[in-house]
Amino acid sequence: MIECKNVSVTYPGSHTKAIQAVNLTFTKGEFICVLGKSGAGKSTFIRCLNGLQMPTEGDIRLQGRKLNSLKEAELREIRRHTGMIFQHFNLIPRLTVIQNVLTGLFGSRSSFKSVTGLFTNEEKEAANAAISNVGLTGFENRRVEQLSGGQKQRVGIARALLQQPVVLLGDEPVASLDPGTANQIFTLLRNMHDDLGLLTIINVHDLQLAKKYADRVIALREGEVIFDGLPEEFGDNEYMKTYGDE
Amino acid sequence: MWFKKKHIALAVILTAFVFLSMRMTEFDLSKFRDFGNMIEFLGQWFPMDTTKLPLMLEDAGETLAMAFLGSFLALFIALPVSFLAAKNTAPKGFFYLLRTSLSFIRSVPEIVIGLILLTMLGLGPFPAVIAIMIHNIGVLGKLISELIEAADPGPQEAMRAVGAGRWTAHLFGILPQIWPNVLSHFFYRFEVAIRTSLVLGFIGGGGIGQRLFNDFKTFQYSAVALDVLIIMVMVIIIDFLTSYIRNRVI
Repeated sequence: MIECKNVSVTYPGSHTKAIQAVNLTFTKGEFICVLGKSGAGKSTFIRCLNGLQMPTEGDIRLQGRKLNSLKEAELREIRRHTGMIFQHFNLIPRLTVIQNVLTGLFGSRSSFKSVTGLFTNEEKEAANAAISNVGLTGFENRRVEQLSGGQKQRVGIARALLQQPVVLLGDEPVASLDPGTANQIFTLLRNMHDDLGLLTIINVHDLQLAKKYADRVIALREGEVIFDGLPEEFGDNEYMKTYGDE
Repeated sequence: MWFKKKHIALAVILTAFVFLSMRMTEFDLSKFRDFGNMIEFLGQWFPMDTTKLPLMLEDAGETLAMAFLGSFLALFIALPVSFLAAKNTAPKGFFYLLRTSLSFIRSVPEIVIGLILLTMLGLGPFPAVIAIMIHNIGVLGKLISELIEAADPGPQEAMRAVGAGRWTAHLFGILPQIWPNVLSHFFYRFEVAIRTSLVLGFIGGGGIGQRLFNDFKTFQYSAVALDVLIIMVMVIIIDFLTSYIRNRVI
């Protein structure tokens, strides 16, 4: 479903590659956690998968289409079905929960329809269903600033859910949350993944979460893939290679 | 410990500037010798002449209308322009062109624009409104485009990630977070516009400023006193009102 061939990213003005020569293939139904230290290239990698970051070398194919050569409209089409959640939630401030969730539809609507906020009743019902799926019923008309971190991430997940995603990407979605809340969010993501048969790729710091929820673990170090396999194969040795000082 | 050589040099330079400026501005406190005259002069201001109060209030209203219309129209135009003048949202090539144009507009004082327009369009508040508007497009355009550049990129990224179009992403990713600051800037410029429209009244732009100027030039000091009082009350009320609205919005 997603195929990376020799993907490297070099940021302008930098000599080192943020990620280098990554070769990976992801298929539908996989729940993947990407591990690595801060600065290992996890974020750069995940942002390549919906074209927020373009690879400077190599190819990424999404559902058979080559990402680098897509036109703006085609890229929007890809992103429409790719949900993404973020460490800092990236909700629109001053808007309510339901307004934020409805922005998930912006990929499939004209600018005019988006800006005027003319949503059909079915669209509003879908948004309410997404809100109830993430357990925020009753919070629809709260402003997002008034929510706790865990609730904010649930809004982020509901927004992604409304996109009817095929792929779900997470860039450190629980790094700003306490361990208990992080577990709840992962449970929610795993259930959503199983119900919808998604391809889910999530960056995490926490090895325990990865082991508990993922089907497959990938570890990055200095931009290179140093491990790709089952969670139970990721042992002390791999841990040292990923997080060690050497 | 705290003072280094460069601080002493700085103190010497500043002192020199202060004395130089005093020479150039004929700064001389001994001129206050005849302070008694001033008290006598101010004595002529009282008691206030209230016979023209309704006309004065009407003029004060005109001043407020000039200030409001000028600054609001400026906001209306400056808001979209700002997105074309901010580094992170401007289409290629627009940024330098618009930023330069905005600073050019800003560099022309309102009173100069006013003088030109009053000659072209005739006396009255209309040219004053246009003058205030033009200048404030320059000011608000710069301030708002700087807010846009400083906006948190997170929400914009989220909007791009859901596949929103470029301008929808800019609008939703940026406007809600800068909105309170946009309002703050607008209210501040509105307050400044009130003072500006007084000065524009002096050159024939209408409103309470023009009345004040005429009363002063025709030695009707008891009317001047009331004009000044009305202006002070007006400014204080507006100050209260705008800070109330600002608090409600934030």
